[in-house]
Amino acid sequence: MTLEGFSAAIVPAIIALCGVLILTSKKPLFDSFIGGAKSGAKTAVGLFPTLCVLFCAVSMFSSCGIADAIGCWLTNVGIPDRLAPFLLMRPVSGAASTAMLADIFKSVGADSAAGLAASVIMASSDTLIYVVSVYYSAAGIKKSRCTIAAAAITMLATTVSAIILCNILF
Amino acid sequence: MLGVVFSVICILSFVYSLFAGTTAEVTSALLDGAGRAVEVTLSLIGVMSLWTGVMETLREAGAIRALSKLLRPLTKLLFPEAARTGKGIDSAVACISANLLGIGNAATPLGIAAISEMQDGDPVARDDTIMLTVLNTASFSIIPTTVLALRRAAGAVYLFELLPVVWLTSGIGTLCAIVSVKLLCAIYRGSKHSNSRLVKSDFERGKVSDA
Repeated sequence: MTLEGFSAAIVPAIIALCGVLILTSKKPLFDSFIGGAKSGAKTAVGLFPTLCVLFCAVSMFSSCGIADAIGCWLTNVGIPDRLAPFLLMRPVSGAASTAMLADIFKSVGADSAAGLAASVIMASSDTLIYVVSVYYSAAGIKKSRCTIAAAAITMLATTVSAIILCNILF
Repeated sequence: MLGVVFSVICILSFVYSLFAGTTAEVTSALLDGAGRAVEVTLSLIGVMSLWTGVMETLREAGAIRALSKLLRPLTKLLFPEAARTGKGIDSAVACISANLLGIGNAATPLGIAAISEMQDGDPVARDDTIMLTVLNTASFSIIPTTVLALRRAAGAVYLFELLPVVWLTSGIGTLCAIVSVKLLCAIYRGSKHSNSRLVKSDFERGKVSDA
């Protein structure tokens, strides 16, 4: 079994494990499953207003072309060609950054400096704004304190080390 | 803070689109965005119901308790308050495990569950909450399936050779997340303390002048 085959089997394995537990346990575990699912559905519905505002703001950002403009300027600072717009989009939109990753692969190749660095960054970071707003609106948090600052520092460290490591190792 | 981020994004995009002449694109994208939010919410209802159901089953069966007992030294360092009270620690452990296993869509509902329990209705983000959130933005996954699939489709030469680099980068990111959260939270608390001292001394001065 390949590594990817193994990781594809994880989710069904967990669900099957739940099945085994429900069958073997004396506790009413199926009721717990349904109860948990009910509360999850409620949370998801409550997230809609936040998601609506978030997606509107993000689609404004990704469609106005500002990422490309700042990206052109950043290329002069030594960031590989075509990588900069992707870097700006990564913390803002998961869908747009996935599309941009595929675009980088098509235009300069998956094994180019930009293609390698973008792959590593894509794999070792998440959509910052989405994670923070979904978590905090679901938990009813009004004051985020140092969350965004710490997440931005982390994002920067990931980006810089991905570019440097890809430069050294490939 | 999030309100500030939203506002800056919207204003910046609008002003730039005026100069770049892309207002028509922005308008249609904006309406598409609102529609996409509905689609994402609908799929989120399914995914979240599934994973919170699984989580509840595993918790009742005692499987998560065993896992979090195993990881106790780590969780005590990362989430000291939650480790002491026991609130949200099981979900936090499950959330980090889901990220490691690459089940990104399970990490969101588990993270939400963990944070809701940690906050306990408190509207100000606690240190443990910030730690879990920032750790999740630096999502450490062992096998990044989406990126691998995209690279394979593009005919890339380096596929699994890239994994050690991903692990190293994720490691650096995770370490940076832990250090920056601990440091910034300490600084934040420090400045809060000096503020309250300032207010107190002002108050005392006011009382003196009153007398």
